Amino acid sequence: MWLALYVPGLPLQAFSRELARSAPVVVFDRFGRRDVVIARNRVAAALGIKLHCTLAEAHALSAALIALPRAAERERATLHRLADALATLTPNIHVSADFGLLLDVAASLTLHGGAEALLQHAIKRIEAHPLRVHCVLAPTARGARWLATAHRQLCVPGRIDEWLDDLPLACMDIPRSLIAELRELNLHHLAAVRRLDPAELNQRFGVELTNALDQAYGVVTESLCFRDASPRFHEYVEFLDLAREQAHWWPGAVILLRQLHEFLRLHVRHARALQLKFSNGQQQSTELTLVSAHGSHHVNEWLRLLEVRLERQPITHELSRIDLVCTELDHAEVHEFDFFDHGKTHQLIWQSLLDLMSSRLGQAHIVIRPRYPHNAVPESQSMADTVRAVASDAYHASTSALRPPWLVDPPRPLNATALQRLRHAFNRRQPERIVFAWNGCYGDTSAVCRDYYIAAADHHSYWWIFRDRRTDRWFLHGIFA
Amino acid sequence: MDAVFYRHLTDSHPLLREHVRMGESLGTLSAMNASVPPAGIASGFAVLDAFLPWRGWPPSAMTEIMTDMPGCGELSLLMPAMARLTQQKRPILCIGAPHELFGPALLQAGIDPAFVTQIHPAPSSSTHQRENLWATEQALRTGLPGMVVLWSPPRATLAPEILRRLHLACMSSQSTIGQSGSPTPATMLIHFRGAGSMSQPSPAWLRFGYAADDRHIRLQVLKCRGRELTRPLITLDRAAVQDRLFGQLRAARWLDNMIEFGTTALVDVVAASQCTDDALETIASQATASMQRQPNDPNRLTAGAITGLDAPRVLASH
Repeated sequence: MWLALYVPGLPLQAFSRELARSAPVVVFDRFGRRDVVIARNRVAAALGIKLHCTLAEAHALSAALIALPRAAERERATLHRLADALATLTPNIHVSADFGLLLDVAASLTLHGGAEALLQHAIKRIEAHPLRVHCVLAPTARGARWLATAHRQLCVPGRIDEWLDDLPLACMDIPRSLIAELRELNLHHLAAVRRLDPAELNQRFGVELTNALDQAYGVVTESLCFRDASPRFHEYVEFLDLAREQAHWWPGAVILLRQLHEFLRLHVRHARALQLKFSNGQQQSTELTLVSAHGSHHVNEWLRLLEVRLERQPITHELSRIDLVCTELDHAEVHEFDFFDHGKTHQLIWQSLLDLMSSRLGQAHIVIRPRYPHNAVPESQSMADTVRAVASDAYHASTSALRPPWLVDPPRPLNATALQRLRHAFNRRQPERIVFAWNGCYGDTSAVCRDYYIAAADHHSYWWIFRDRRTDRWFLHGIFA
Repeated sequence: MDAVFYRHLTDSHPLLREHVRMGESLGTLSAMNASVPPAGIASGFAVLDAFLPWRGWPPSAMTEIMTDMPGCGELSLLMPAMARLTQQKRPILCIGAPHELFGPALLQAGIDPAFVTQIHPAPSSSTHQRENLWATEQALRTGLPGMVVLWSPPRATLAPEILRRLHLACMSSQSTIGQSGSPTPATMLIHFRGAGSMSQPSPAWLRFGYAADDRHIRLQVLKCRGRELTRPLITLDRAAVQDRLFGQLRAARWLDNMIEFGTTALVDVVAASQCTDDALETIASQATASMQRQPNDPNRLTAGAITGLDAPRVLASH
């Protein structure tokens, strides 16, 4: 069984519904050198503007006409939003850009209490969206698709032939020229076409027509590709007037994050990162990326991150639109969801704090744990020692060479004056030599040979200095603070 | 006797009772005797712990360490407490340190680097100061870190209200955790400032100036809540604070003397080998072998026995 959801006038419905109600609006697309009207609202239709007329003709009919260029991205987003809402019915959803959605619901019928109940479920979910959608449930995908173009709501649990026979040819998704040829032969309904010999049809019109008929009537099975089930969140808000100050557009950002919250809850996911794009048409735009290292689903947490990020990087230009995209989603367990932002564990509070700081200060300014720079070979050796010791659970501090708590990275060159100021090096006779001679791991700079000393410096501090044996230069690499 | 006199005085008139506050409400020594102050995090140095009323670093409070000599062992002063906190799996936040903390060194001091987080390590100037203060306050308000260590630029002047805000955030840390989950020991704030800040007022419970020479670390106590400043100067043995460093230096000095003058006592070599690492153990084993070759003088070691020790020890070679 297939549930066909036809979105009539999708190019127009992808835009704001309020806009389409208030004035004559058409959506045009470019075919060759001409702009052609592909969708119009009722006000425009009442003025006599017809589909497939040129934009110039439409303008001639109405001086107050609002003409919008086709936005394929909006149409795609609209369909995917609808598909997300219906994902609870079935995961097998085919998205057709020029039609709508086709859902394979054969496996879901029993769960939802039959075909009629499933159709009502679907309608209830669609009503939450500001879209006009035709819903038809039928045994074949192509049959449901054709029926959906003619019926607003229909459930065909059994024989589909009787319903298809009465359909006009315009409901078929075959080339318009082919339909025109059939009409010239005084064929206006599917029943009339079916009465003809298939071999003759194939000979005259090619196999496309007979294939479509066979698929619609269930003679052969049709295979459709389903959309990728991995969820991806992309929503936006638009402002009719330019929003100048943060107080004006902040509610829009809150709405977007609340939608994200609902989306994550529906899909039982955590979000690790999200991108916000604040734009003013094509002129100015600012992109912000908020990162949650542990993954978060709660709207308040994202709002806090956004607030602190805006304190550091305020939006200085006017806005007409805010986009929110979230692609990095992790699976979560239902019991992990904290719907009321209570009962956080210490670990979660700590991670939230780190996220907050990263958001305001920048990731580069936070070192979650002391790092071991790649360009400093001794540290790599120390790390290797540490890893080995931790792995064997037999680490004993006194067995490793002494290291300073403060690392000067990169090593600071010591000139002759600085060297003279060092009073003396205590362990001059027994430096710690650290040699790394392989290539590849650290690039060409890996071939180093350093002699490390502990030297007493000014103000009674002790420095960890080394002499590069290749260049015979001295460097400060650490301080025993 | 004075206390009895003032108590009689306040009892004599209701107006005086309202306007004269006795020591109990001021948190002075008498108050401390009446109510035991909360236990702090032991500093690991007996002299210091004995002096401080909390038997360690004050919990839920700000401690200011003021010095113009960064890198003279002041971090080592905190390391035992840091090690104790990380063993309790409590995070440590270091904000605005002059240099980056080195993981292997922390590990040698018993501090688990996995619990140490740094913000703005090695800042270029005081431009990050505002952000550092914000981060400190945020961290303190969560009440999660065991210790927050903040470095302010030596010449930075902090307004009293900023310090007050930090201190209040520090004090509120314990109650914050108490509301949401299981009780957790309080967060303490260690604030490193320049010595020029010693003359400025601060709400910190503990303030001291820090100075160090080759032998000693001197803590000039400027303020210690709950204790009369009868002993304003605490002197610590620097070799005890930076024991591993000074142990290695001592061993190196012995080794230098040994090579310089040709002979030394075997017991010194053995003692040196206990202070430092396997290099000197090798020396000791060579000395033992030499001693076996010269049985006539079992307590003396000739320079010839340690020929070749001038060559640097190769730690890793691939």
